[in-house]
Amino acid sequence: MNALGPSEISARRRPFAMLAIAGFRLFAGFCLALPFSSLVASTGIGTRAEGDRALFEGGGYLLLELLRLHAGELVATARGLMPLFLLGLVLTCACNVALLIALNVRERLTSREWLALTWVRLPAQLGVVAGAALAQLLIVFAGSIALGVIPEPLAKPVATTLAQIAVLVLLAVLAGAVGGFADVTKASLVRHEAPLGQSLARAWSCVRSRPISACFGWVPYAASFVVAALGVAKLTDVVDVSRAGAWRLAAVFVVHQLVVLLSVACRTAWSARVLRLVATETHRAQSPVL
Amino acid sequence: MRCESSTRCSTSASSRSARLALAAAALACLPARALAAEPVLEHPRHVASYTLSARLDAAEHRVTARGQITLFNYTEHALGELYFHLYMNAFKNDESLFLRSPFGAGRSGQHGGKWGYIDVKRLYAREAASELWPNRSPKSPGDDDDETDVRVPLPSPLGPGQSLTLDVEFEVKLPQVVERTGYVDDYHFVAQWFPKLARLMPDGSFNHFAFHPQSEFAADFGAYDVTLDVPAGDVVGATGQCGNAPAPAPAGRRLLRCLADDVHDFAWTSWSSFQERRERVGAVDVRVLVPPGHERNAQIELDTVRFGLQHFGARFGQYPYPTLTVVHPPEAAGDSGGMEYPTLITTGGPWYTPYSGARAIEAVTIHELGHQWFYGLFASDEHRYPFLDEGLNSYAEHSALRARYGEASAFSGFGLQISNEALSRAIAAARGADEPIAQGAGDFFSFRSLGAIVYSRTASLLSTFERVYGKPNLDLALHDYANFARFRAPEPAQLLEAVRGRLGDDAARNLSRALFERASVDYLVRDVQSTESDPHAGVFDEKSGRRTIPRSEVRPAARYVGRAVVLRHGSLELPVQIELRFADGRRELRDWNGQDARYVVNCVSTSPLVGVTIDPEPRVLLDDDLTNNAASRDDQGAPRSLERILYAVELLLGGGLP
Repeated sequence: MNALGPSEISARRRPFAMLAIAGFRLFAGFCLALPFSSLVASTGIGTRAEGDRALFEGGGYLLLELLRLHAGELVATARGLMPLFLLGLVLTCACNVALLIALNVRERLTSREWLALTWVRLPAQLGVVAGAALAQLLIVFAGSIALGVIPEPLAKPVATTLAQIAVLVLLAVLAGAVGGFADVTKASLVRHEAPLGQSLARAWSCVRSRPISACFGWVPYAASFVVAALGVAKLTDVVDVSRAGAWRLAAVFVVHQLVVLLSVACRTAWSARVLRLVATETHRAQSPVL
Repeated sequence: MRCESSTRCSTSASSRSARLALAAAALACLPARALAAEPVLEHPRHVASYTLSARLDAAEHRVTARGQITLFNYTEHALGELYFHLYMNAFKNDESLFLRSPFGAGRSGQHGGKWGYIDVKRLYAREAASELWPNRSPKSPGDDDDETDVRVPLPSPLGPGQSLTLDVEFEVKLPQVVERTGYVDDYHFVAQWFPKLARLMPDGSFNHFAFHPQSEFAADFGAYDVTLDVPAGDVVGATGQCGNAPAPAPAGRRLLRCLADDVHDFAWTSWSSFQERRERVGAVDVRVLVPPGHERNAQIELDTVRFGLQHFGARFGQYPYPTLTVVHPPEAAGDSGGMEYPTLITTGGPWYTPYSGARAIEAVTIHELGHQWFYGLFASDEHRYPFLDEGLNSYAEHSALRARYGEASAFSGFGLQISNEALSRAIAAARGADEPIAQGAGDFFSFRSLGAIVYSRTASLLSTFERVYGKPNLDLALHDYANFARFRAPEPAQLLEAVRGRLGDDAARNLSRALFERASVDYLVRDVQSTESDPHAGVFDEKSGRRTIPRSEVRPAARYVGRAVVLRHGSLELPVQIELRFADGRRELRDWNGQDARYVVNCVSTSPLVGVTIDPEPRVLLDDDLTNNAASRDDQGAPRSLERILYAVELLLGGGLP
């Protein structure tokens, strides 16, 4: 396999990889959602004239009634599906590894090659993910302690809240930086096919030379996704599935899947960027100093 | 003592059941008197009036007070004793009824960080020239550990039509804010702080009770003249109209005189950091006191009060007082929020609440404002029948919020609109008819039970009546009730009478059952069937002889016979609508009076009957289970739910990894 040069790495080269991952997300989502919706259907909501539109009608009487009467079953279903959900998360992680591999190589990969390479890289990648998650949990724990010691004078509620927000922002920045560093490490693992220790060192080198790009380069992509998701939430309100018409349901489904596809596209674009960052940094480190 | 208490409780529980049954029977037999013909009182009879001077020691959190209490014996009976509520003693020690097991804490669920109590130094009867306090029974009747309900014998009976003037001196140590009273730092909210005469009943007895953690209050109307001595820099909010006192204030102090007529309690707050907004709304001078940074909340509270005074005024009679003070306590003193006093209400919530999209400030303001009628003007007995205040007021609150915000009165977003009525219905249905609505606050299993049944079930009951019998009719009934109740301390009988007068005997019977008998209802649909009405295949013996018609020769049926069974479980007999759905998409609505336990739907149509839904809107919010209200020969499944859950899971899978 030949690695692409830094300037050649681009998300646009791999549209089918994006579609495949979105397809996987749809399939996995369906597997996890079906037991819940079957439970909802078993309550007899579909025997009403308006079907389960009634759950979304103004007031929310039937939605709250369903939650009241079947909360136990819903929680039990959620617990039962937890292993499947964790598997889904592992497979999502595998998809992200596969995406990095696809973005990194010049040749068109067969499915077998793609899966084999992903399988080989997955353990180290999962290690990075687990380590990053642990670090982020520690940050949240430390932050909650910091929030608790902020003084709360009666007459200065806004100042108190601003101080709390400042701590929360700091937490988010730190957790986001850890996430960015983890992504650089994952890209380095794929780009250099090196052991975890070397990849961490290369990632650290990237962070030192280009800290903003490495730690917070994901922000524009995440922001694009959040804006799109919020916009779609408004659009969903307008389409209003509580009113009659199968087209409303179809329209909301399509729009929601476009949001999912956009999230995959954002992840792909960020992965391409972080790969370029790792490749450029390596290239720069290996170039003779003039 | 604990064992004795338990025995006492069980005895009172059985006698309570008998009492409720008797009350229900008596109320059901009441003649349908025209409540609307009763004159509306302009002013109440003044029974207990107070003239007090109180000094706040902000550093020690103490209030030292002295003054006069005047009692007018309006009854036809001579009074040989008095009862005083010393509510502040609820926070004196862990042995008080309020703080001890099994209740452990009040409605707020908090114990309070510092003890609070009241020491009465002197109670002197002028007419009898006698010191009364040394002869008091220091403990609450039947409870040797509690000191919130004190009996004071009179040296000579107070005859009918006579008045008694009592000189009183007392000192209050405020608790750290708990159960709507106390202090946090230099913020003070002073409520239930003076020796308050128990309500004098027409039979010459006193409606006295120890301060139960699930209970609120009851007192007689009177006039209050209270002079407050507070630190010079403090902003004061209080019941009534306040102005600078005529006497000069001591150095570093501020003297205010507050006058309130036709009220039955007096509460006040003092804090240096309050920001004030004022607005004249009709004839009412509205003051809003908020902590710094709460400007948006102050605006919302003013807007809500402006709407509420007009809305409630039109429904339940004009607000008669010249002032209304809204106090928004600082967040750390949140337990002093969400409470009602005559002409003063407290709200609460963080300064950023309005920016969250939740209508919490609006809801608490409209709720507490509603109390100005159900608690303030009507003086409902919150101890004996809490539903007359909190229950009716919760209905009024939901109704007002719906009038202002529509179906999204509680939440709107993500394609969902949730109303306060739907939330309240869900809370009420979770407890069902575990306990009667019309019982004393202390008789409920727990405050959670009281909350679900008194607040939510009563509100759902009245919302059901509004939808089933028509809002204009219920509005008229409540208007009649409000006109009667104004300054009269009503009982459930008057509510039943008002409902009977405007909604009829069936409605009154249903109301009585729901209030006193734990009545409930669950409508459900069974067995939807449809068959062709004229199948001609088979062997027929006719005049001309036996004739066999093969199935292949049968023409398509022109008509279908549909059948379904609709059932009513429970003893509430509420009229409902039944919706029939046919295969060609046509729908038909039928009315059922709900009086029988079963109703068989029969129909003949050109299209097969495919589904039946009872109460499709829904109107009967008391229905125990809304999910069994439909049955169908086809099932459309839950495609919208699948789509929504699928999207949520896809987002979770995508965002669940760093």
